[in-house]
Amino acid sequence: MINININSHSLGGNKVLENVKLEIPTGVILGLVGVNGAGKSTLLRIMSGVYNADEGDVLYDGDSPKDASTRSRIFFLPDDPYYTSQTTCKSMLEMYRTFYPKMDIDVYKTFISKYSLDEKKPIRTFSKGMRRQLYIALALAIKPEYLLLDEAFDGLDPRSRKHFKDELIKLVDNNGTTVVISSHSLRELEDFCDMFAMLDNKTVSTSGDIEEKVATLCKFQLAFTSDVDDEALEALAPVALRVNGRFVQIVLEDTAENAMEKLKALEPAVIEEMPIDFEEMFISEVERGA
Amino acid sequence: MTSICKYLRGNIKTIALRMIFVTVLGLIFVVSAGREDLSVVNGMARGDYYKFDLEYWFIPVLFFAWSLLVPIVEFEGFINKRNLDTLYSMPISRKSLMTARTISAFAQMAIPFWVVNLFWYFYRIFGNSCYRQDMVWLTMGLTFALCLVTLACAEFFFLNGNSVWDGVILVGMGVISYFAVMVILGVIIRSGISTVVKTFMSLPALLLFIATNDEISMRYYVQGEWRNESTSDWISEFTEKVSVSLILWAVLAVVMMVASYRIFTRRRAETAEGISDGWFGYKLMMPLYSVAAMLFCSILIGEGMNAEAIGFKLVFFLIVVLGYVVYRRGFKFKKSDLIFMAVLLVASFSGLTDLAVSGVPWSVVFG
Repeated sequence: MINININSHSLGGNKVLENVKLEIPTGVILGLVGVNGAGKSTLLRIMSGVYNADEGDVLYDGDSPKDASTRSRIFFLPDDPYYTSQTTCKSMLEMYRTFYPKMDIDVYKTFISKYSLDEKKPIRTFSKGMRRQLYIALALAIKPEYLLLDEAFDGLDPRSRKHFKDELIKLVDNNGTTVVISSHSLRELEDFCDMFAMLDNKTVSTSGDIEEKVATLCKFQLAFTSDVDDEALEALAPVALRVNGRFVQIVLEDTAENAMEKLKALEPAVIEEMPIDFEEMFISEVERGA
Repeated sequence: MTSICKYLRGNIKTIALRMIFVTVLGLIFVVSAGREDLSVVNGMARGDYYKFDLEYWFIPVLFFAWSLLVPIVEFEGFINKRNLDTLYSMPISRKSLMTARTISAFAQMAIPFWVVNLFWYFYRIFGNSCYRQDMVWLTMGLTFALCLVTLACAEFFFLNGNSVWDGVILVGMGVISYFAVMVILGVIIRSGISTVVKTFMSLPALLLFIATNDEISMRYYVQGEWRNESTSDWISEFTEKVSVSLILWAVLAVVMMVASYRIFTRRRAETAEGISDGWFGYKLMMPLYSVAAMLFCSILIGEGMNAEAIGFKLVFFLIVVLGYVVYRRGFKFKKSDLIFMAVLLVASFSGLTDLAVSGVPWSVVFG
């Protein structure tokens, strides 16, 4: 169980996180989402022990990541991970093996050969995606209790993405690993995340089960024969509202039946329920927050 | 302790390669360096006067440069944002990381240093009755202390940086400022100089190639037997001076290492990238550096030039301002920038450069 309780954290005098409270149960995959600059990377850095929160803390089963022993149970893959001009896959493996002695070398070798990475070539000559493949191989071979991934899909090709997602699910199932993954690829997260937490306005604005959250919202498309009555639409307290002439797209936090009733009262010429996914839920939440 | 060992073991190949590189370089120097035996200097009033001039200067110079470079290479990962993200999330404490890296840096300087020095000793000195063995050892010890303090200072200034280049610039500023402080001190106290102060200040001369005094250039005069009175006096003074020097520099090295340790363990990863505005960041180093740069340049290239000419001062002023603007990535009007400009103006036009050129401080202090 990860307990996040950060009262505040500032970067360069600007408050980035404020009153962030979140509990992540063991063995789940949590998608951390938010607009650019929302503080996802900062939160992950605090969670991994890279930053110390100005006020508050993060606890892993009661242990702080400030202790090296706690960090031995965590693997953090930053958006731009470590390498020097001389670093090769081999030297990277040696470095990680030093600190994670239980690392499964066979798993590492399997991934390296699957991704066709040249172990002797300097990492600096790799593309961004290849570098990420290497770190993914290391992360999966270490089999940590807690895996923190920042922009994990960045640079990966579709085949590698699929493979990575499959392996993450296997890792959680077989090892009981808790995964926190930040990404802007919401459709990717929706595929395999059990939970999500959304950072907005420096705090966790909403969190929970993705399917349950999406189920609380419904989306409709309306067409009117006369001018749209904006005030009547606003009175429904929409989560998101887009008006384009006499056409309206509206997202409401209600059951589809209730929403349909309310919308029919506005006498649209056409009313149609639309499917809503995690990405639309995200956009709706961001717009509502704004 | 286990973490430190693990860390060192994991990096042993890189550490060994660096040590081999500098050792081989040093050994090549030793083998190819000459030994000038001036033999009898005819016409001397003091009779037969033998002078053996051994080339030793390349060892301090090589290891001075190496002592500056090693902390930069070793601690590069400690002030680079990308690397900090990974290093700080690893299951090793900052104290252990710092201790492991400091041990590694020390080993990379010390082991090649003693291999090269011992080779030099056995290749050149051992078994040759012309040389006082105890003095040779003292000189090697002094050089080692110098390299140690250089390593510690470079580590300290580098870790004050917020990025690799910032750190490198601060190291550069530290070196030049150090020499400048020595010059200024020398000028101030040249009239009533004590043995201890003189010894302390004579050390930079070793690293500037400009030393002409006997103890530094390892030049040994032999007049018949060592028991000659004047030679004995000189040896006695030299031994005392070097012993004091050794203690002073060793203490300074320890102080700087402790300071580096404190800086690193209290460091915030959030400040990585950009330039340092800490106590030993640009706010302190820039004004010091501006004065230092002027003195240094004046001494090196000012001789024979009209240092009092306004153009000479203006050129220095503009060069340092340009360097500052580039470093600060623009022209800023914060309090620290204004202080820098004020110090620079005073240094440029107050006659400090004239003093440096005309005061002949090196010869007074070190001669």
